[in-house]
Amino acid sequence: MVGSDPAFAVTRGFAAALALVTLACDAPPRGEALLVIDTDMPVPKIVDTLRVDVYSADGSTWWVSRDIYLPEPASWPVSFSVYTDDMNVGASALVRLRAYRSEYVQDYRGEGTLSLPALGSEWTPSTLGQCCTDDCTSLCPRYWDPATSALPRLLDDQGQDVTPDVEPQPLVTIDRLVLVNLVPGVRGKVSVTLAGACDGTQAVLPDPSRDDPQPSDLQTCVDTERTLVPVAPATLDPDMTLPAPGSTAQGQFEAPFATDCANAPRTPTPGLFDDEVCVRGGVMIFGSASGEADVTAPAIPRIAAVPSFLMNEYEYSVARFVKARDKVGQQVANYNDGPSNDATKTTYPLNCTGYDVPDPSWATADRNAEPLNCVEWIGARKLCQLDGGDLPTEAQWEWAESAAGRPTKSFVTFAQPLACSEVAYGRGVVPGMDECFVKDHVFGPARVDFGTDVADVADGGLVGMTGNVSEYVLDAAVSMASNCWLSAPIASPSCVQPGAAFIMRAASWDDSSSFVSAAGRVPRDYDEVEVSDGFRCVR
Amino acid sequence: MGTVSRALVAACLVLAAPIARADDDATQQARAEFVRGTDFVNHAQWAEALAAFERSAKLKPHAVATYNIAACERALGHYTRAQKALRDALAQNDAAGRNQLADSLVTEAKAQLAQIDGLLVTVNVTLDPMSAAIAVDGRPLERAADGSLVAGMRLPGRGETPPAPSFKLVMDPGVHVLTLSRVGYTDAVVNKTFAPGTTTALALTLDKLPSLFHVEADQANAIVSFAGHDVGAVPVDVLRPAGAYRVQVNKTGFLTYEATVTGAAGERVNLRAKMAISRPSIFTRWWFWTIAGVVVAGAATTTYFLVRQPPPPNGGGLGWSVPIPPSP
Repeated sequence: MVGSDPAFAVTRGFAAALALVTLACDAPPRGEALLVIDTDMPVPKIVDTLRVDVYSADGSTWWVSRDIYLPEPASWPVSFSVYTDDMNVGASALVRLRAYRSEYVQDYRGEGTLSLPALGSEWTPSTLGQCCTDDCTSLCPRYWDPATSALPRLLDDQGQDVTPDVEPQPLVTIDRLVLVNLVPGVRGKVSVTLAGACDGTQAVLPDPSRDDPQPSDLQTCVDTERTLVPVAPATLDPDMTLPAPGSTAQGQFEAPFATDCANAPRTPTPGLFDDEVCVRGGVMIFGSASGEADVTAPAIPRIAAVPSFLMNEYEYSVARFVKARDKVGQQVANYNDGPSNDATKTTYPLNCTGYDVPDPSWATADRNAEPLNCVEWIGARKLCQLDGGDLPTEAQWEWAESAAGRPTKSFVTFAQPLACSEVAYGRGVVPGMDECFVKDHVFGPARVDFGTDVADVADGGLVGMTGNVSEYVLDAAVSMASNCWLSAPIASPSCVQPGAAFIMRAASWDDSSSFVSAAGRVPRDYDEVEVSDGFRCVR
Repeated sequence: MGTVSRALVAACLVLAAPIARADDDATQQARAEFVRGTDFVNHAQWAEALAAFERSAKLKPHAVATYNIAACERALGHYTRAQKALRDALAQNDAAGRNQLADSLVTEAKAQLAQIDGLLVTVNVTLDPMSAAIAVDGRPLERAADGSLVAGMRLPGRGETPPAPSFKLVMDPGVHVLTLSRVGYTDAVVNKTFAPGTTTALALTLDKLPSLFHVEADQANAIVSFAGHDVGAVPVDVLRPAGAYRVQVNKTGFLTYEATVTGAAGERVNLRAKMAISRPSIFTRWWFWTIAGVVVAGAATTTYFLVRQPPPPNGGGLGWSVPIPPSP
């Protein structure tokens, strides 16, 4: 047994004696800075990883890079230290801290690629993705050597290239520079809160191709959106005590958005399906890596904070349109050609639900309960405005569909094969799209309330967000890389341009199951009307 | 009853005479099917009528039966198929000495062809990549004599690669689903409503699929590091753009497994790490350290008073301390 071994006892005796001597005659400490890192963003919804890069003070030499996966809220604040072994000469280090969600990374492009337009800058119609033109902010590499196209590399002690393959996507990353001066014999703590307001504002490092990089070139966002300030040496707190468990700022950025709605939902009018739901706001990563197939640009997710709002529980119904028509008159064009439940009519275009003639055979009860389609975007907007609201922004729509009331964001999905009782889809008669063909209703959408037939209900009780009719939003059909989006703030971002093509979200009754996705961004011409397209309002 | 039905009934009367004079079984069956087809027409059951006329025409080819097929297709909104059937009916009539179709029906057929020309949709399609396969409404396309491709003519099946990356596509008006596919790419599905008689341009582009790397090990709870990032315990699936990646699998008590894996677009790459046990060395034996401790403690005590060392770096909650070189 080890504990009874004489040699072990001797060893313990020596160790104890050594410890006593050490305590009695402790040497001065190394110069060391203990960095304590917290964030006010929610974990892990927005942040689950901390990327730490350590450079020389002027940013010209890259020493260390490490990704630390921290999906547990209790793991924050996280702490580590930088130190110098030299007991005579001080040292300085530039520490770059980036908080992001682990799946939002991109190929390494040089640790600094982004130059954003000012907040609220001009509309541009560009749909280009990564471009370097005047009407589209550059997402091109900035810290590379123009002569050789080489990017800065990270080498280990043996000179091996250990440069990370990927780096966090700048638009969904809180990027902070901390300059630490180490003095021999002095230890101290630096507390840093990675602020949600800085999410998407990339720090500025010196251009390594310059011969004279200066610490004054360094800029970082501290706590104000899209605001870069020079990086000053951090002040060291001599108290090296780590924060108590649970003492974190997580969620503080989101709290002002996650409130009760300012107004109470309206009292529903029987038969109109004008019920409203309060959608509590919050912050999310807006956009999807697979969501822009029909906009000629790659998806570029960004941070969006959405204040609470009221949203129609159901898609805008024909009954509401019939009641509103007298008030809006011909400002709202609707294309109707008769009843949709005539089984012998199977050719284009017999599927518009709205009606404008007093023919009883057209104005059936079922028709009144169907979503209004075949209406222009401007007409849909006027109908919403008539009720004191508007069309939802794309961020509001995506928040309501995929994030509201959930710990993490995920587009509403259903098990495959998709059952006809889950989403109103596949109700056309085109081969391949007729999986849910309804015999007594040759074409067309289901009732907006679905009755007991379909269970397409998002958190909060919003009905039909995934299918039935695709839904208009306010925002224009441009890439998330356009100036219009890149200049939009974190809070309530939007890109509205009447007269331009606009975005439509969700699938519809005439889509096949493979097309049922809430992530897709589908462009529609400004005056285009489709039998598959409807809308709902917010206020 | 609409225009289509009146034209069809007239055609029935014409067909009845030649079929009635024949006495073989095929003719008798063809006549029965033809009569059944006309009954269906009278009840606006176009799909059933079409099937009956097609059976009749197969048993006994005749320009009137073909004309009736065209009428049914037109009533069902299948204009490309109706167009072909009308042309076939006129050709059959010419081949038979122009005595199978009445002059009024010939005139009617030509008028309908002109009307259908005005209804059909023309789409100038450009594909990227050019070798992608295209299908419309779940059917491959048929090549017309003028080089254009026609939708709705062939039986349901897989898409086919068109003869050129840019081509003219002729379709019925209405809602269509265009599906573009190629190995290694995500399918592109375009769902669009085409107004009658319009000509539009459509560029269809496929995105490359990512690679799926499936990493497992012969030891449970081994941790996978993929391209420098911890991605969790085995088994784990990692989606990344096609390319080569460095994979490490670690577990306490085992040697680190390292490999470089390469995935092509759309490919699933399976990697199973065989973890070798890390043999305990002498350095893991307690007695070694006991002896060493005695030696080191003695030496350290002596040395300490000669060269005092500062306390170790703090390292924080992560226990990670980064050494910084002295300033130049």
